[in-house]
Amino acid sequence: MNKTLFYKELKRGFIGWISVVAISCGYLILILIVNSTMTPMMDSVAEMFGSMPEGFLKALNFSSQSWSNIMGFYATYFVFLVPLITGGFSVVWGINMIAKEEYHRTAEFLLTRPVPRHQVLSTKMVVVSLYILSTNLLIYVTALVGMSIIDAQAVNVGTLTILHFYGLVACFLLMALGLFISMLFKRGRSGVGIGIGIVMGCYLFDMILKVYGKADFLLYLTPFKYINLDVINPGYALEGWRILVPLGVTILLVASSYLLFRRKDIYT
Amino acid sequence: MLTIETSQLTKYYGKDRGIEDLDLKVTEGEIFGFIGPNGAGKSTTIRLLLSLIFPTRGSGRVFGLDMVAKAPEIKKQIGFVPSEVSYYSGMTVKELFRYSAGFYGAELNGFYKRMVESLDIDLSRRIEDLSMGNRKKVALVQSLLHRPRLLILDEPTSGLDPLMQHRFFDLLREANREGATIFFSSHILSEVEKLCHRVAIIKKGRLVEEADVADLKKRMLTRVDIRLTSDIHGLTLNTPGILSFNGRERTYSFLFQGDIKPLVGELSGLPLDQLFIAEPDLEEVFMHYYKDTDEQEGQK
Repeated sequence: MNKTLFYKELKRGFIGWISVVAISCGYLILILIVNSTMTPMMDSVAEMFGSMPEGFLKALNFSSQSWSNIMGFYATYFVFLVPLITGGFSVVWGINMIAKEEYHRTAEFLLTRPVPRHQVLSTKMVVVSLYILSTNLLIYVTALVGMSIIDAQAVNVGTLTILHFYGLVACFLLMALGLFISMLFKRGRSGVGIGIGIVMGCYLFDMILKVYGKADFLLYLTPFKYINLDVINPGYALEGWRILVPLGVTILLVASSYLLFRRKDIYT
Repeated sequence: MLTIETSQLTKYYGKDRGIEDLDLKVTEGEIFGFIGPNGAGKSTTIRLLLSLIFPTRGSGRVFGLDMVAKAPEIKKQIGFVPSEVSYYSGMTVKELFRYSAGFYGAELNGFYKRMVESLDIDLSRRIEDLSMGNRKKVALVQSLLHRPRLLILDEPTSGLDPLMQHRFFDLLREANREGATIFFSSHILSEVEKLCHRVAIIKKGRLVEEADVADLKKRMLTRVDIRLTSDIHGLTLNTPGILSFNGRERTYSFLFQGDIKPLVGELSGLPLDQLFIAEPDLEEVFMHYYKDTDEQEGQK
């Protein structure tokens, strides 16, 4: 790792990171406020859910049963909060690591310094990993404190920790996917549009498959499959395959990115 | 000792030619001009030397080290001024200098202060607010902060006013006097002629000539005009290298290629009134090479 680059990257991405934390935690607080206003209306909500197609409810992870307590309600919106919002930013961070330097033509400056390419990538990965970790940690703490204020007895710290751990792994997978895709770009480009496209594409693919209901094996192709949202199940526990598969793919994507970046032509 | 040595260095962008079979030798301590029009392959060569892009085939050595395998080690001793300077927005000039120096463990010392004063650089300004010329000045200072052994400049003077160009060249000469080898790419021949010891001419990705500036000009055709004090009918000159001889009575003109001394000796035996020998500038040399190789290609 290169210290000069590390501090520069940390400073350079700080405002962006503050925005991600503000958006994520703001959305989380909104979820909790919505929950506290909806609690008195749960009977009519259950009736409304009963009239909706099962595939549709499954796709959106809506169920009157899960909404019976705050943990279940939170898990429904967790999909939007972590894999979609934080995951979306993770994929953008992954793409922007190198592609942004190419796009803004600063790669010419950076890559003519006496720093090996693998060190440039490692340093940037450490910074992005810190951003992903800290964002997820802050969301986790905000969720834990917020839910405890609303209904402390309903909060299962272990379950919430596992749920967020799945989310964290998904964020790293999306970051690695973004990085890998950026290595395939001939020339640098901004990662925002592509990042949003990747995450929304995965989400829509997941939803369509759930509504269709006949090709469930394809769900394993999206990061959402590896997040167990069934938090009201008393047997909810950490499942190895939900961690090992995305982690394995993450390692594969990162290793491939290192290999591609080693000899990637940098154009202006 | 050679600072840069390439062997059959070739780069293709897909099917498009970048450079082909480039054999280049730059000796330590010289100012080497690399000239050619836009698209000839100058920037491709520089980007290969800096490992920003990688060869399709062939190899290169900088300071005797393989330019691909030992790239980080080589870059410790290289300063680079790109043709289009792009730095991080939001940074001030001083922050950029500190950032760049940090990679080399270099100090912003007296030498740096002298460069900043000489080029009249405002350290407090943000990079994105600088004009192209000012960015070039920042790029030059940034490239010299760590006192590199090799300075690579890609079309460095574009955007600089004549006064700044002069100071820019002074700094380059100073760096060269202190031992830095300078590899200077340009299509402005007069500045290469002013600054460089040796030049290489590149055309369509291939090296067409590599020589001392003085030698190159010596090898070129010169135009000789003579005016005699009295008529000489059927004047003939025997010095080898005389071409296109024409004229009558008192006025003759011809093209000449080769060592001028024997010719002057022969001319001194004539009743000379006036003698004009026009030395070509580098532009004429350059055009000669371009014309010649085009003709050869046409014959093929």
